[in-house]
Amino acid sequence: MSASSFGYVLAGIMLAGLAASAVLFEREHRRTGAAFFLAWFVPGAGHLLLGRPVKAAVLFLILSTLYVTGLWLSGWKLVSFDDNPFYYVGQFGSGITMALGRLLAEPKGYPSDAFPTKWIDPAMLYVCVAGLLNVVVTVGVFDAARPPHAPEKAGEAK
Amino acid sequence: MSESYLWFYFPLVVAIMAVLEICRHDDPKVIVKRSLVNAGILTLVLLCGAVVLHIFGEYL
Repeated sequence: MSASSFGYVLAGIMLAGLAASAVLFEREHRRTGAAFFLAWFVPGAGHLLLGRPVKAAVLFLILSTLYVTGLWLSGWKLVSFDDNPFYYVGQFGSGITMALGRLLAEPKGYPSDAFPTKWIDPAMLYVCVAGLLNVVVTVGVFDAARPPHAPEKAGEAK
Repeated sequence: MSESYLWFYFPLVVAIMAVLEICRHDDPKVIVKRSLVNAGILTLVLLCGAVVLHIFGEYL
């Protein structure tokens, strides 16, 4: 499966989840389903929808800083799927990084004679980690959907 | 110049730990404290591993 088709399948799965949550769930759970999709697409957007604007802003700031730093280190171009599939797929943890990675990686920026850089390894790492961390943030939407002052479960780490 | 990559290590680890703690806690003080503590612990573990590997490589 190519990178683009994998991305389309992933985006389709997320949209199907959003549609399913709208049809199948009760009203309050629909909001969580929409937040789950939004959190995947834009880091922090899910928390914003659930009424956690500060958390949303901090998460967006951290993840976007990681991603932009990675792009800056790589000269605003990333490797292709063919050269580094694992790093490339790591961006799929967020819809917007996946879209940007798709746009910026075509045509292939590195390796080539016109694109010398010694920071390509940390650049790929930063970009990949930004995407993968958004997976954690996306799943964390279900925790954020709890009422703010709900008691924690017994035995949970303080 | 491969050792220069170490400059990228600590910001990345702190960012990872901060995101993980933000997902778990609401109190900013707890988030900052636990992020730094966890980043320190991870760094210590990695340093211990590096020392062990160095000893193995150098003397064994």
